[in-house]
Amino acid sequence: MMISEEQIIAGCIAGKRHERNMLYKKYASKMHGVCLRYTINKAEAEDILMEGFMKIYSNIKTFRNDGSFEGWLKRIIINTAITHYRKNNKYHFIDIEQIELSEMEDSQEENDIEEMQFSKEEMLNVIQQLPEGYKMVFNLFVFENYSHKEIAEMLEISENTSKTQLLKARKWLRNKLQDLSIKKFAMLKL
Amino acid sequence: MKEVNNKLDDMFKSALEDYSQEPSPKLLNVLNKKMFFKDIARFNFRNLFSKSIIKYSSYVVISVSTFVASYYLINNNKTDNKNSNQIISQSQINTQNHNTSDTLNNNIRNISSNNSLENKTTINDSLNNNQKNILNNKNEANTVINNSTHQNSLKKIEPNLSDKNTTDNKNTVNNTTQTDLNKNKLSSKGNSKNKPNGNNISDKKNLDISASDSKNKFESIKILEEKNKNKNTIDNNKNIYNTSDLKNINYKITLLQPKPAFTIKNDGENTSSDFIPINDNNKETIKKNNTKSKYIFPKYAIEVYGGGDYVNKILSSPLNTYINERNKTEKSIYTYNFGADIKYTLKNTFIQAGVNKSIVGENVVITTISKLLDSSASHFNYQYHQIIHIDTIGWIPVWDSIHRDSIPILDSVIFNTVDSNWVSVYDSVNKENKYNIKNRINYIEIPVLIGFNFGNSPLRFNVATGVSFGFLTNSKGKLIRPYTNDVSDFNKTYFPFNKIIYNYILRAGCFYIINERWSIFMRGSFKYNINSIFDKSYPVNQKYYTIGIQGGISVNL
Repeated sequence: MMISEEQIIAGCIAGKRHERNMLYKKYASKMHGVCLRYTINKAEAEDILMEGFMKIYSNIKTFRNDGSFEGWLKRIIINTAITHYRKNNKYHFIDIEQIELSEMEDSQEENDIEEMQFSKEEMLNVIQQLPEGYKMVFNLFVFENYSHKEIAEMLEISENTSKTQLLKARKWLRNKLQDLSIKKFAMLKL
Repeated sequence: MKEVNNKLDDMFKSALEDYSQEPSPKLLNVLNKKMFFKDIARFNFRNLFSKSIIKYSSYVVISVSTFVASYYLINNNKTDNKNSNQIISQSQINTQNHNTSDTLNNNIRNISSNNSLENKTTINDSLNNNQKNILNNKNEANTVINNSTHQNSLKKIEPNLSDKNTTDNKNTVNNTTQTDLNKNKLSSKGNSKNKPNGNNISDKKNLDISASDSKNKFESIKILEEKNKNKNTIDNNKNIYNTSDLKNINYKITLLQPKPAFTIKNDGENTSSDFIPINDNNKETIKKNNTKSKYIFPKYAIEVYGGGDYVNKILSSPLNTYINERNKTEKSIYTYNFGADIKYTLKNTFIQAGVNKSIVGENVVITTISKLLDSSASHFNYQYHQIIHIDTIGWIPVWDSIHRDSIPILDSVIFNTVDSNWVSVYDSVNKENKYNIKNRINYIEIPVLIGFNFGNSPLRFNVATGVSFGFLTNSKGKLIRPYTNDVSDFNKTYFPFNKIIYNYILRAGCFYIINERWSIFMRGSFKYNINSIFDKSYPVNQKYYTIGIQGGISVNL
């Protein structure tokens, strides 16, 4: 029997297990994909996913129909990931305001990334290997489209720090992808 | 450089933005377990037990209680016949003792008969009587629905028109209205069974969905009003809709607005209707009125309660002196009770079963007088007694010429010699023994009641009656024993308690609905032992009646 999203939401508000399970089955895989980007491995991602869904079930009454439900779920998951990150990595960010951003930008090499072909899993793996601070900023800027100001507020860092972290992340990713492509090429030759 | 960065960002974004991966299957179970404990903490009992468990457990409790009650009722009737010789007709002996209980029974009968006469309130009762007639009337009825052009005018309802069959005056409801109704999942036939009474959870869902479909609950009535504009010219006095459509419309109103926006006044001869259209001025008051009466009893609820009781006993026995003595020395007690019930509600009727703890007993103040033996004064009275006891075995007749007589033959002569007797000497001052005893007999009871709810406001009333089966858990105290008048502890030898007693219960009270989940209640209760607390072998019939007050909370499931 097809149940509409409103019915699922109403059932979750009423605390019914059947509707909660339906909500989980509908959105768990997508939200898990989001969690994987913010964590090192699957286990950690599942922890955040479970914590996130518990918050969703507890706070679903506060959903006001003023936007997409999926977007609302995603925000909760991301906030859970940020909270999880802040608990585990308190002193990761180093404020390096003295380094001028323009210098950093000029120093980066231009690499032709278009030619590189990578699978989704490979790219996910690369992101997961990003250092924590870079990962958070990169995800929030690129995927969630937050501004540096907003990222700074969320992660309790300065705006400059957010910008430098993003640049460093990009550089790191570029290098990683290059290494990966070299390895792939070498494997093909063999 | 920016372009390169953008390419990199776009590459990752396109690859991973919609990336999804199934989590491990165990995660859902772990999540459900964690939510289970969280729900307990938040008193969210819906997920603690599935509906079926609650349903079947309540059936089991009710059926077991009914079985036990009927078993012991039957048994009691049989033993009554056997043991009738032991107890003298109670009507003679217990007249005095049962006067109070008889008046109470009469009062109970009066209350229950009054309840049967009272109208039960349902959501349909919120409609005025004339609208009810319209719904129930199989003939086509005339109704008028205000349209915006005639907002301030009064319309008449004529439920039984002689020209009901004139088709010219029929106005069919717009198809879009029908689709609106269909969206809200209402039966187009308008069968009374399909009326949302609110106790059906699926109906409640429909209520919720209809509310969520339109932000304003009364919007659909507005839609109807607007659509009436586009219809053919409406005769102000007679607008006849198809009965099925009429019922649908009325259902719609019922669904969205338990108390309709329009009221019907009875002006004596003709029933006229003053239709008050919904506008900005009265929207809030109508909404308030509707929210008050929109409470729909859920099917299942759990009640937890506690309170105080006044317990008094009723004694009956052929041993009048004993009864009098006990009545003089024993006083009634104040005690407590607590328990929990599961309640199953259908419309305004409910069945309730549960478990509670109850205490009966009395406070005993007995003073006994005993003689003190003076051991120093007690002595042997050294007196020599000799008793001669002559035994005879027969008579020998002795004849002489003149007399006829007989002479006893002596068999033996016994000499009993009593040396001395022990003489007990008692003290001149008697000893007083005072007993201050608290007799308490504890039972775990299973009450099974049926009741009715009354009222439409958040403050409502209910009455319930039924039976309870009490299982003796322990007893502590002392009583005067019959025949010997000794004061003895409760034990099986002297005081054979019945392990199971059954009681008649009456409860009446009020409850206040806080929200859809919670309500609080306060009620008075009366309980009367149907059988004695003692076994039939005991010569005294001892029953208790309990008058109590209980307060508690109810959680809807």
